[in-house]
Amino acid sequence: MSAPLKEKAMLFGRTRSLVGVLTEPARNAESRGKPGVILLNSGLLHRVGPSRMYVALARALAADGFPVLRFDFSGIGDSESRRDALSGDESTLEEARDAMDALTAARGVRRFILMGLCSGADNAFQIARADERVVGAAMIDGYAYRTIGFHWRYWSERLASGRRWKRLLQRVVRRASHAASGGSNPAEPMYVRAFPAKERVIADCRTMIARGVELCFLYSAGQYQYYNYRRQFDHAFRRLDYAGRVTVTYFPDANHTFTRRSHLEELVSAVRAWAPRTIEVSERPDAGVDPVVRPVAQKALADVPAS
Amino acid sequence: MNPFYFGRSQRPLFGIYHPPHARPVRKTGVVLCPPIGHEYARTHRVLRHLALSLADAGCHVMRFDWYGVGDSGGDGSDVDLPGWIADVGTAIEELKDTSGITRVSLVGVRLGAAIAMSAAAKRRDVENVVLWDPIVRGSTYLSDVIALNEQFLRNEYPPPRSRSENPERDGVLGQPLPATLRDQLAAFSLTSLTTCGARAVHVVASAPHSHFDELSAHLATLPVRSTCQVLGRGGDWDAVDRIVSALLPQQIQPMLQGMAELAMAEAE
Repeated sequence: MSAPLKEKAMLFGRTRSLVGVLTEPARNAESRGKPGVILLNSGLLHRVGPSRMYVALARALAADGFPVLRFDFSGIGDSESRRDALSGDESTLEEARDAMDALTAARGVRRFILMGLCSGADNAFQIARADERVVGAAMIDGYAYRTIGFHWRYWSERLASGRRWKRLLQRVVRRASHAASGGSNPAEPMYVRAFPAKERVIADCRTMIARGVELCFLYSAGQYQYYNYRRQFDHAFRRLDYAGRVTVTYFPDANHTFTRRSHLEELVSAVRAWAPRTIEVSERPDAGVDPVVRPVAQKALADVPAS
Repeated sequence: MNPFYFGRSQRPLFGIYHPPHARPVRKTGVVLCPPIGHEYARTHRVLRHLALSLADAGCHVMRFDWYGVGDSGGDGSDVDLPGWIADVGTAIEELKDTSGITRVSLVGVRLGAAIAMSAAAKRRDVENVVLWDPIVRGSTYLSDVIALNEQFLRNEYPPPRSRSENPERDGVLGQPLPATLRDQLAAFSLTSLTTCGARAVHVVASAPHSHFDELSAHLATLPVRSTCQVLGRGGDWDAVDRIVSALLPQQIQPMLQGMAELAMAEAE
């Protein structure tokens, strides 16, 4: 039976126009010493997340004693658009800080874990770097950097796949036919994420690790354009001393939005297993002892997808 | 705008109340009934936009999430149609308590439209029911959404390990589909309704469909005024490449405006 939880809707921010839901254990004592968790929107999807991912994460972590706030940045979901001239990055940081302040006011917590999928992961990383109240960041399909191992797997699979060849042929025929009919832009629009330079990310990781921040990188196989084997993170960040504060998990069967419930449950289990590492992190004596923390979900330990 | 939880403690529902922003305040409030699953996520922003438009026109408006969907309680494994039909009643009573109004209109989308219509059949306080691309037959919806799920996951990476998906274990496009709900959907048809407590029913369609013709013909046999109109581009519900993309208000403005006008049409 699941632990009893409380959920409460919140309006916060300078103009009380940001909408969120606070999930917490029914008994306040269970939250003692635990940071507050804040879930950051993935793209334009509102705070519920794809396949209700954020609701599942919030309730699982709250069952473990973490107060969790999922909210909408301005202009997303139920939150109003801003009327000032702040840039996207500035407003994102300001509103994440508003969320931390709101959680402090509601629950008294002063240390935070930030968490998100895709653009939510990117924001979690950047905000964790910028705000010293953050003691943990869990990034689902966040920044990734290709390695030789990545390219080997990527191209081996593509060249061996009949389905890929068929698709390529279809694309060539479609483009040729479009060009013949006078079309000007045969290419379909494609969403491409821009990651910061790897050196910059390594430097930021070092800064956060030195601060005692726990970093959790979770990659689905659905992020195949950027990440396609479990140890890719280790290889790409070879020059980064994890100091026992980096956890990497790879989900070889999951698509990017963890659509299947069984995959979502694996994700939730992995995050749940990692989150306690942030409890009173500044007081823990083990900093610098554990060189590399291996993936937490045994099920996710397989290397390259077998299919 | 006031977000809050309401309903029984064992079945908490998340809702947002939008007070009227114009005078005169209309006597009829509006309850919005969203779709479920991926369609719920896709339509979230446009239903917010519709609620704001209605509030700007003087309506008390209530949005809410079904039990087991969105921010409401429940993990989706224990949802069923009768429970969702009861949720509409809970939301209506909440809006009436909050605002002091005595009559409501319902705007439902897809399965939310079917549930809204079913709820209206049992009530005497409903003015208009506006059905946006309603699910007329549950069995068709079920087979369509299961097929769409398989098509979506086939196009996703990594490729599925088995030829067919397991909706019992993994749900469909993020929505759990427990056996009870599947059985109830398989047996459900809006053309089986024998009563309608609403003053008027308006079907608004993104495109003509034989199911809407059947529904219109059936509504003509009931003691209720009904209309059916095609209001142009809607949700592209069957498009596999739209499953994870949110609908934006500017994409479907005629649809939203048409629904707002129909919801506010009053006998007074």
